Amino acid sequence: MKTMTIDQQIIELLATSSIAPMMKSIIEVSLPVMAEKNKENVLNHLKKEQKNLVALKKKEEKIIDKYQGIMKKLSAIQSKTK
Amino acid sequence: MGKISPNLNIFMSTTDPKSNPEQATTNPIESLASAKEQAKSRISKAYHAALDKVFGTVKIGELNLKELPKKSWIFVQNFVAELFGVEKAKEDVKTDTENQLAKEVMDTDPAKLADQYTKKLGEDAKFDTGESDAVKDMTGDVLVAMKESGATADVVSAIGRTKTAAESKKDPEKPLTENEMRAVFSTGLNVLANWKEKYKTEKAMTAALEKVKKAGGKSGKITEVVEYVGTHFKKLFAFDAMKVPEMLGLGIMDFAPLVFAGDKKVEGGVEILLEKLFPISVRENGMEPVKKLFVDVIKQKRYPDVAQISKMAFMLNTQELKDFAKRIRSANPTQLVADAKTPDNSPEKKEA
Repeated sequence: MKTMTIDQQIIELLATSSIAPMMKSIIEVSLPVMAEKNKENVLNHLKKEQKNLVALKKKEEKIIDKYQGIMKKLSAIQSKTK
Repeated sequence: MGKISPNLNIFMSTTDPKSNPEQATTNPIESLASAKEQAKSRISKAYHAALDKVFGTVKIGELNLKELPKKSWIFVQNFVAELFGVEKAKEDVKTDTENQLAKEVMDTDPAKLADQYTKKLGEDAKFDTGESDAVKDMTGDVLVAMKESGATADVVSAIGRTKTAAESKKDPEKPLTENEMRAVFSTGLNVLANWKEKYKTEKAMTAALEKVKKAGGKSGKITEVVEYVGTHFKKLFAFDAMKVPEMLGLGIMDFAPLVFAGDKKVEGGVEILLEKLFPISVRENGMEPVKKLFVDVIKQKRYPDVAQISKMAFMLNTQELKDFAKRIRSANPTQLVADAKTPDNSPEKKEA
């Protein structure tokens, strides 16, 4: 199995990152001249971002599930009062 | 089952909150309506996103809160508030990530970065990327100044592009072409967004811009990125746009082409130019610079701009400008350009 380089991993994470397109472009352009330590930091920041976004997505789904029931009941109440 | 209408009017209360203190604290209507009318801030965006989720995701049919017991409104409010919290958290993650990444970029050798941006610009915009030690030195200075002023990598990129575009020409004193300007201005909005976050006051922004200008050295081209930021001062800080050219050390007619060449969405830029700055220019320098601008706009085939200029010319109440504007509207643009190139006292014109 071929191991991805740091650059490749960064490019892959950038594709799904929430950062602005211009920032993505800057990172891509800067990669070839960045020091290894900076690249590793970039990779770690992007990984952390992904982790946080996944957690927030799960939280969001829980909230929607929690309130969906309530909102349906409200709709039923409304239908009864009509 | 349909989606809830996002029209906030359906939430408008007919009950006076003051007569019901309990309701006053739980009534979601005012907070929802208020959120809609807030200025476009990140918090507001997150709130709208939360509202969209309530309306778009939860399939509960045509829910009309007006017909529901007031006590139930609290559930909608809480729902929105919790989703809003998540949306805000997402925005914070985005911002934090961008800031962290920018630091890594800014930690990189500025000269190397400048070279990279030069190459990229060369690929994108087909510019000649001639070698110039002066460019590299100046770009390095500018980037250092940017770093010191705390600007983000977006600005670094913008500076790099400006310098490259200017210095790649054989004659760096020639103004940038429209495409070159657009290449620079395409980063403008991001620059503004980042700078607004960073520099909360006009004073701080001005100080940062001064540093950039100073680092630009003898060539004034670096001010062009700064000017784009400057034209948005009014939007950002309710700043008097009249001061922008003066603050940037530019004559009005040096500033004017930049407004026309910039992003078409520049808010109020052209109006400010035409209403306020042109009359000053005409008073101070006569008609020639304004005429030249008209001609340049025509040559670049930006006819909507010409129409706008000519319309505004009548508001300037300058007879000469009005006459000129009339000719623009009725004349063939090519002929007008040729005409404008011919001095008024030439035999050809005299004959005509």
